[in-house]
Amino acid sequence: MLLEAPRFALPETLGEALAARAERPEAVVVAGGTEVMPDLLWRNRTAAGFLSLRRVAALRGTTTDGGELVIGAGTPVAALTTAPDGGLRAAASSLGTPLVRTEATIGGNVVSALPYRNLLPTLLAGGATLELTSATGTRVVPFDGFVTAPGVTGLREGELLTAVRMPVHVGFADYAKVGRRNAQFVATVSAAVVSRDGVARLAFGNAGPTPLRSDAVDTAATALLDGRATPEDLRATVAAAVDPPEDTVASAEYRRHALGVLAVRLVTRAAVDAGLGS
Amino acid sequence: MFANMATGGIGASVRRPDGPAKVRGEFSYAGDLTAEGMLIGVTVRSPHPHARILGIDTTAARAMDGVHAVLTVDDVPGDRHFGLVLRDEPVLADGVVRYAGEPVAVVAAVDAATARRAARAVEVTYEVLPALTDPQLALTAASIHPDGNVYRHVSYSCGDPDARGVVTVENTYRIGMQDPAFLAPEAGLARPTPDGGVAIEVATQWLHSDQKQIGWATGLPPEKVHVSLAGVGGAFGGREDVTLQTHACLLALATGRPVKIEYTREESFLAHRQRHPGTIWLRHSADADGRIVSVEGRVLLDGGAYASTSPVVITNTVTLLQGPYRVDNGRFEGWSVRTNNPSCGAMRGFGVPQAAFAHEAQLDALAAALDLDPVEVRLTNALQRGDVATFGQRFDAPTPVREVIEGLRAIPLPTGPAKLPGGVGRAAEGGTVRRGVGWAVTMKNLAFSEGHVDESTAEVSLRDGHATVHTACAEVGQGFVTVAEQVARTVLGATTVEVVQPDTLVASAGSTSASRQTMASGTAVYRACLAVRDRLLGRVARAHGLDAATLTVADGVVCAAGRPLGPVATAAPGQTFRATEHFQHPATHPLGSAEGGMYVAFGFSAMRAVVDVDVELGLVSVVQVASCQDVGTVVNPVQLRGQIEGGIVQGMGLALMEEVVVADGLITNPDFQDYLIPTIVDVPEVVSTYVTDPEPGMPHGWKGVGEPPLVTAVPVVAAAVRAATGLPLPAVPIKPEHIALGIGAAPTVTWTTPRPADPDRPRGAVIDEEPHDAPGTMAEEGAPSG
Amino acid sequence: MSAVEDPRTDVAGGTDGADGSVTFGLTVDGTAHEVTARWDESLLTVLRDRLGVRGPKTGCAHGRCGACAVKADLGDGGHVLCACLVPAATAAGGTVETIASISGPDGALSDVQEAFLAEGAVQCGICTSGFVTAATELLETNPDPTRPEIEAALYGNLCRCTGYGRIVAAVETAARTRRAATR
Repeated sequence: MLLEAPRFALPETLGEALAARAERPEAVVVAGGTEVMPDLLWRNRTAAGFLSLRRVAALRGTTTDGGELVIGAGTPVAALTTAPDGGLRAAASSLGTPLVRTEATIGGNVVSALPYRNLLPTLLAGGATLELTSATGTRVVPFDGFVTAPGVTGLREGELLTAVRMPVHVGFADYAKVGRRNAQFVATVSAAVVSRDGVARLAFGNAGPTPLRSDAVDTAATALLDGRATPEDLRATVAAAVDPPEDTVASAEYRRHALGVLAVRLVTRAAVDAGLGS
Repeated sequence: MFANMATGGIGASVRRPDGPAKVRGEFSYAGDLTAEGMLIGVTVRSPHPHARILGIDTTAARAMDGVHAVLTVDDVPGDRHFGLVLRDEPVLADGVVRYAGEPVAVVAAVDAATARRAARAVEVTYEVLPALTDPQLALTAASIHPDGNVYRHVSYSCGDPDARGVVTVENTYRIGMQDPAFLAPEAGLARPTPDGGVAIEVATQWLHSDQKQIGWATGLPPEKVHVSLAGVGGAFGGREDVTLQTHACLLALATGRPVKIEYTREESFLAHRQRHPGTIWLRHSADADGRIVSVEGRVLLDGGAYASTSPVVITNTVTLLQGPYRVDNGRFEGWSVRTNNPSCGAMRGFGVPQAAFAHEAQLDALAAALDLDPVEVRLTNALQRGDVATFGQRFDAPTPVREVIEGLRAIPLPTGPAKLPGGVGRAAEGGTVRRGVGWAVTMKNLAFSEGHVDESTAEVSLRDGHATVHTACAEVGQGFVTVAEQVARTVLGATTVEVVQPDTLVASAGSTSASRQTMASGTAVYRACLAVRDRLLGRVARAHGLDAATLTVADGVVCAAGRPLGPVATAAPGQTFRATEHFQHPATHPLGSAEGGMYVAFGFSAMRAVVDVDVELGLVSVVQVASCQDVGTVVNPVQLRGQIEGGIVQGMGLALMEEVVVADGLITNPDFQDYLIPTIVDVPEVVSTYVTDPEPGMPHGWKGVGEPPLVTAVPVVAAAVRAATGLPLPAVPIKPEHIALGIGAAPTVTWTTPRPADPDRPRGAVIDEEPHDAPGTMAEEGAPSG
Repeated sequence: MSAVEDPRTDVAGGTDGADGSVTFGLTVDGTAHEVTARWDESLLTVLRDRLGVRGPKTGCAHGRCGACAVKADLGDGGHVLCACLVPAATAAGGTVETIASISGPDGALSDVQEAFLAEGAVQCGICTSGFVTAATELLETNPDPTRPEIEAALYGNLCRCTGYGRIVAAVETAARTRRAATR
């Protein structure tokens, strides 16, 4: 432990972090602080204490394991802006600001679990899995289904998210988001695509209470990819699959429309990349 | 603050004297203030937009360790009400709260954490009342304030409003609420003074207005209220009203200790005044060649809970609906009204961006209806010197409307790659983007208006070539300190200049607003420098046995009949020369007055914007804004460019993204995650050119330049987006869904039988009705106007 | 409205007192400090209010404006970040370089600072220390940035006065000056 106080723990190793997690169930786990600190300031959230993972070196960095990228949960988003996955690169490069990305982590983005968080559609489309570690061991769960409601995940008591595993795609992956400004904006809506071997998979942000994908959308996207369907078909399928919020930033109608546009554009990019489109 | 030894007179791009400290991070802002034994003040604010206060229990808060004072309205020793124009706003809520965020109590404690805990411990019992949040309903609803719901109603006509050409176009336009969003939140530090008075260092735009209003609340005479300027991190109108000034002083007096208050970003949104949101209906009638025959307009501005400058802003909006065009026949009416929404007041442009957005959309609609070039329509109608405004004032100074339009035409359109709409989100595709080009021309009144005295005073001294300049002009970032230095160098030949931090030991300079400080305080400094120079030259003349009338100062050297005698710095060793000079613009008069015009001066500006729009998603990239502005004589080219570029980007913000969203009286986005101002990725290339007709009556012919760029940027960006999309887009900010879903009604075009103006109808403004609610207690110094 | 009461981070839960404090070492602009702060205080609060280091500015305190940008090494080599977003105690044993650590030889203005003055990139100046900090970092990693690269590096810093045009010009000028000096 670099620092230990009744309301603050700063472990250096994963072991110390897990022990602290067990000892301090009420503490808020904080990595970069870029979500937690504004939460305390703006969203009236209170915390009983911090367990900071910021100095656990083992959680930072990316390795390759077989066909998967293993991204430590404490890896800063800035490091993902050069990731080998096009979707991750794009999502990371448009997250927050350059000054935020140096501290924001992939783990924080996942665990904060709001539907507009940048990295989530990419992880969902890419078929990512999560390493959840507790004092008793590690379990690996699909990211699909991990977020159960805005801000709510399947993380169990005593568990920490320790790594995100992302299949290394040989195909095409991309991400795009729409907002009301040209930099530094929360996604009004967002979308990610992965296409490989003629099959497209899409996922959406702020298209419902949790990151969203659907088999019907992927079927329509794949059909568009190989020319068996029209853009209008995909847009109609997306419109039926999503349930976006209505708020002062945008209407649900606009979001539904924009999700369809993004879906078509991303699949079209995948088709061009595969030499299938114009 | 010492400047370089370089010449650095008027016309040179002199560097800011406060620049080195700012780039080193050493400049002291209000938020950096600290004092021995300082307490921290925190404000208890109403969570309700409208409620009756049944009780305030401060017992628990007062009992907390470290709490030195908890004040409510009952602890205000002087007048309980304040305000820039009408004294209708309670210092602390007096039985009723009328907007969410209204101060109810203030706490001073040993540190911020204690003060905030104590603030939470103040128990306020509210009986929630229905909130009046629709400004249209405010006109007829029961009063939510003893002074009524209408701040001011103006109504006038000129010529024959019923005259018609071959076509009329009409539409209703909507402008959202913009926040000044200066980057340094409000802060100030007040201390009790040994004479029983109080001194405050504060980030403000108008020291003497603060002094007066603090005096009202504390019951202290002006000589016992000392206000000095702390470092100001931007203002844009948002620091013209009192926010924390009075509270900090009351707490300092109550505790006998220095008290600092610094708002958070959220409090800043709640506490200061926003730009008025409004609805404007306009109907233009024109001949087949595009010449305007008549204009009719109606304006409704939501002033929010308290008056601030609402009675003045509405007149600006209504009278400038004509734009920089000759309009002989018209009928104009407007209201600014009270609601339970956030209070609105001054923001850069002061009512005119709203008018400009509407009249420029109308000019384009007129051109489209008649199948004419929109630039030609503007040239056809351009005001000229000697024309008479709808409000009766003759344009008797240079009125270079044609010139600014022609100046723009010379600027080439952008070539080469442009940033894609949507920026870092990477949503746009090259093939989905359409380019649009729009034009806009505007007129902005400069300086205070309608009889409000516009004046300033400067004290200048000179000793051995070192000049000291003292005014009460608030430096808020615009660069008055540089201008003052340049004037002293040019007129006095000073080698070094110190611009003293402004305070109330010198007479009022008025507000740093209304594009007015170069004209008012710059001229006061100029006059004081002339007087000091004459004293110096008199001394030199006596010493050399010369006729003072033959002596001049040029480039830091005293000359006799053009022949150098020696440097100013050594002309009178050890001698100090001083002068205090006052400047006041010629008087202005209320709307409809037969005695003279409403406004001191006008600035004209034309812009052309080029935008790329992803029409499917409604995303916009502003590629280029070209500007040609009537700026008088250029005082400092780099600072001028800074005003133009900064103003354009603020106007573009209102056009595309900036809006304080108020739902049921509550601001839903009081932070920089959800209130969006342009980032460096959003901004266009700016090409800036000028028309430099000297302004009559001003030294060197200088004039104000700060507001026109913002005023014109709003309509020009909207026009370009319309051109790219073919959509009417009658509201700003333009949201992506307005474009993607085609939201917003098109102008109504009606073909009419021409009806010439009745020649018996009088030219000039005729007040149609007496103002419903004339401004009551005018501040003796004059309320601001922009 | 999310919170009229304004629960700043320094009061979350109202945790003054012995159990809420944390003590740690922090080196700021070359000076070692032992800091005692509340557990949830931001690095910005510690710098400004506890250590009196006023170069980093408070603009929004939620990571959107960049006025508080500092270069910090939290055991991983150091980079520029928003001090308002960092729980101060996570920097235990770390080092922070604020705008006060940026200067040219012999305490003169750095090339970036000089260019900000020359190009008129400073008006009110509340954003300036953050911009100078971020631009200095940019030029260390990319001595010849294109305009899009400058924009990509600086969009975490907001300016309300200048419209950014002079800021871009200043960074370009500083880069030219630096390349000329090292040629």
